[in-house]
Amino acid sequence: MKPIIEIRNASVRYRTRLSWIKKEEIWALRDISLSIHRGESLGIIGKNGSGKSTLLRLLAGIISPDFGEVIIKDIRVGLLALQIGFIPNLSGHDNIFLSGMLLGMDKKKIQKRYKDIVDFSELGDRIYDPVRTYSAGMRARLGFSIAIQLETDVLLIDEVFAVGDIHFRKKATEALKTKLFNKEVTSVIVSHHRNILNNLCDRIIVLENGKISKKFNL
Amino acid sequence: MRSYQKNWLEFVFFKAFAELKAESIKTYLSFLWWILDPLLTFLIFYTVFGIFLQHDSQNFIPFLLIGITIWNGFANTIYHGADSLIQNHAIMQYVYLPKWVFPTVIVLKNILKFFVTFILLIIIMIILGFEPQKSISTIFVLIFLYLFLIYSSTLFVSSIIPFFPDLKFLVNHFIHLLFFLSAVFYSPDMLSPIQQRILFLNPMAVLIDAFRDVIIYNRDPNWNWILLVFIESKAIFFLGVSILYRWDRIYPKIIIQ
Repeated sequence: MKPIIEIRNASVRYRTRLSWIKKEEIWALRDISLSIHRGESLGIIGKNGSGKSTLLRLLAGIISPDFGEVIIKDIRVGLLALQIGFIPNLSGHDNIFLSGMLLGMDKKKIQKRYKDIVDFSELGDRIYDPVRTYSAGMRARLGFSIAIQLETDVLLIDEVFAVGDIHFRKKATEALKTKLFNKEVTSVIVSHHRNILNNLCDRIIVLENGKISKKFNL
Repeated sequence: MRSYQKNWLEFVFFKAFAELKAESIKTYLSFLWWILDPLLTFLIFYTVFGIFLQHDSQNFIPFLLIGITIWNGFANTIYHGADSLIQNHAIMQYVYLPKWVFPTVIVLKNILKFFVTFILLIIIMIILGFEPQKSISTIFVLIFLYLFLIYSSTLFVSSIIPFFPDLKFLVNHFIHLLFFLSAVFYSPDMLSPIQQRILFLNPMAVLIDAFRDVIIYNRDPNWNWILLVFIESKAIFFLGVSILYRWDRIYPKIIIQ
């Protein structure tokens, strides 16, 4: 079977301008090759700065590689981003639409899911208050409730497990699992925690200094 | 390479209105500022040029009102749109979206503000006894051109600022310079023919002069200069769009200090 996303010898570099002449180059990914097939679940593990998030951005088509290539088939890829594009002065209601549209849903679809989102967030009538009046936990709950509605062929997840209190965290993990165990959905999950990935993924790659250092099949 | 085709215009409109709403909540006078802001600018200029320097043209008030309204719409949009990609750098890290979306939101927002002041301007003109309705189609052409110029300039400026953040300062000075070269508070007729010709290379000078021709003096603008504005705007537009497309997936990689 042909992969739906294929990365061939990709390298990604970030440039920082230290002064007028001095520039620093950081190679976040070096010569990475990776294929992702329909329906599978891939885990990515690695230390801070090992290139996990950059790899995810490459898979999402957010950035292009400086060398090599990324081939994304005609599919929708979405990164599960929490609280993306929130405007603190506006109500939770308005922010559901802002954030949902940024994630790739259209207005109609959000309207259809609106009740589910509010119910899931457990915000009740506070949904009409400005987001700036929310606690960090409430904001995280709202962010998760919106993002979980995302329906793409490939779902990319960057450490979103720890949101809200114990009760909500449990609920969130369950919702996420339901989504990930759906055989139609392909997923790539980044985490520090090996046991979470063991639970959710078919295979795991370990990133070290921008290179794949180990691969496991589960 | 593409991922997830989507109609981003829906988002652009929603975000523009959402930002306007958020801005209006921040201040007590909220939407009134759309009118107060240009009005205060007018009062300052009227005090300096109309009263202290005794500008003795009988049409000085409408003359200045038009100049300031047209100028403010242009300058505010570019000023706020210049770092629109930098402002939204965090969003870019998490979702792919074509980068024209961010400056377009700013342009849309400011165009709405402009229309409110422009309609007010027309009402004041009618109260002052001018009858711009005779040449209403010309006004529409001028407005279309004016909006096109604003949009292309904002796209272009916003496309280069992320690469050279220091330019933001230069942009402010450039807008300042352009202000003096746009004949906001003086008439191009005061200049020599050669000076006029140089002045009219600046599209804003042409447009402000054209709006005055139509609204105050009830005469046709110089269409040759108008055509030049269109060509200039189109060139800037294509420049801006091609930079934004060319570096579409590079912008998120630029590290903002």
